[in-house]
Amino acid sequence: MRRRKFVGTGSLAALGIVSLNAGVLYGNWYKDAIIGHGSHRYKIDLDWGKLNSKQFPVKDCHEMVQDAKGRIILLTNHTQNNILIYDRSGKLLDSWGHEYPGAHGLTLHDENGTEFLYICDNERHEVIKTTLDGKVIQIFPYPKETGKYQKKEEYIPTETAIAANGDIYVADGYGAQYITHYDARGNVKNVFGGRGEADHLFNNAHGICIDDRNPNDPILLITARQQNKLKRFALDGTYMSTIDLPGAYICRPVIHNKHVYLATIWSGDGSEGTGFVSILDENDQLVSAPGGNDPVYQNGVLQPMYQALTIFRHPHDICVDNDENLYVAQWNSWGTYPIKLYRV
Amino acid sequence: MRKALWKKWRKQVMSMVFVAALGAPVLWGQSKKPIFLSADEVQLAAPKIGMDSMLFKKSGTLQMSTSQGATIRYTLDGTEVGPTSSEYSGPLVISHTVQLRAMAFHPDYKPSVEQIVNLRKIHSDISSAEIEVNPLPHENYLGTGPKTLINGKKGSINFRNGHDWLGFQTEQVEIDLKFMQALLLEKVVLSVLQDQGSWIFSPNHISINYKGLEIGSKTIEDCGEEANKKMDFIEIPIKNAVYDQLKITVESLDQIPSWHPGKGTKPWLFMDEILVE
Repeated sequence: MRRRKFVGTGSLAALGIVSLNAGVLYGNWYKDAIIGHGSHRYKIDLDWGKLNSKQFPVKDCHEMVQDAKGRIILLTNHTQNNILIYDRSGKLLDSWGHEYPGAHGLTLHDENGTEFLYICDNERHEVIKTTLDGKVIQIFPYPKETGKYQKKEEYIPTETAIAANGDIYVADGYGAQYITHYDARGNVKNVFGGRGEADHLFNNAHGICIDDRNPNDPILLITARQQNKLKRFALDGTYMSTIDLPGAYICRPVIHNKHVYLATIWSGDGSEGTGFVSILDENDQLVSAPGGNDPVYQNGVLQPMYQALTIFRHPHDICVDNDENLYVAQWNSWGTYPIKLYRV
Repeated sequence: MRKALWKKWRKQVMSMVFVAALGAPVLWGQSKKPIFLSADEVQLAAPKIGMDSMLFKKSGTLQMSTSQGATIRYTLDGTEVGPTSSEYSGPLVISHTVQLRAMAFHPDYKPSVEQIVNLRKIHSDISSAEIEVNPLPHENYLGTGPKTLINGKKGSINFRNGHDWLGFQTEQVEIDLKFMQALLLEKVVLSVLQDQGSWIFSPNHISINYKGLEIGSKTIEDCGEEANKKMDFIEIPIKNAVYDQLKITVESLDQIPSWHPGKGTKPWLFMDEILVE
């Protein structure tokens, strides 16, 4: 996909009118591509966040979060700058981090008014809690005390989720597939999951989040990526139910208002170069799939999904900002920067 | 390229004219505003092709799908697909060895790449033959053992799924076949994967020997050239005769060519089936 430079216009509204008029008068030449379905449709900015790749390189763009100031924080496994901090227009504000060669999972948690980051490092086999400017607060090594691990190499954590009480859940998505549950001080409280095909087990427990859409009854959402499933667990690790998303290799669930957003790294039969974005509503229905085919339910069962447009290459995470625009971080996409989707 | 530049220039000028006509302020370079991707720069994904089996004994049923608003056009005679090729409207029953070529078209988006799938009728069942593969495949791509190559089952293009592919990262692979009964043969067919994005290349040379005598060979001249992902059947004509055994030697490229990110390293070789006719 070619990236373009274009004239700057005064306001977003003006740009909108331009493309509308141009579209009407000049056929398809000037029609902005709009992707997604139903209420969740987007225009695409491929140039967002593009930097000088010698000065601020990225390898895999693994995950992104937005902090309380509205800044967009990107985690990459390039040790020249593991963290890149942008404003929403894509301007670089800050960068730090050289010691996270396997930087993979990035979670932000507000601890009584102070925000912290939790970085899962695949190569260090541990989770690191830092301040927003990179000071290390705590390291969670491999959880030997659970009795599930003999050596650190068996533990390859991919994601964390932090509950309101400060409890920490770590998904070992590339390792033994256990979910380790710590208290806020880092003492192991519980371990559940593990590798397997049964409902309460995982094949690639890649992403985890706290689903607090019902504030009185928060639960865990955990992806079983290779199984194309999103699984619900109680906070005590009891399996509850599964949402089937055939053809969607979902990375991590991200809750925003009533919806769940999931980067979908491969699609269809899992072929190289595929992927799209999955958006579920509060009834667990796939309501929009930007870059994917139209979601179709037959007798309540989602029909297999596949890539429809070749816009994305292995989306690995979605960040939803306060304007409900999306930032798509991609894995193994030739060192390209994230793509921004503007909701229309 | 010139055409693209002209289009881009035209689009820029037209946008400026519209902005001016509407009286909107043009604040050159003051803040970074998004430039949206236009529909005509977006390419459709190739049609999704489903077949109950790419190898069949009598016939197989083929289904294709694409996104809403797009149409699928296809050929079955090996010719390139164009905007006037047959439009797909429902499942096709295939009873002969054919090459299916299909593309998706849409009024707003660029047509997809051409998807090429070879569907093959099995002539001789050799699943009971004795087979030895030397060296053994890489431990991650062992299939279900050497017999994978003669079980009549085709792997999917996503080689990570299932256990139908044998993957090698060696200079050459020797396959020894001993048939339960002698067969009159004129052709050996090797089913391989080409997925250069995953460092998997077609083989460079295949030779067939019978008791130390070469009875057929084929060189794939363009196996190092950049090409789309596909599953391929390579046909190697052999001296028409009755054989009770064959030795098949498959050689890879020495190294991945210089245009590829993996240049200089040994390419992978993936095979899922050997057929004789």
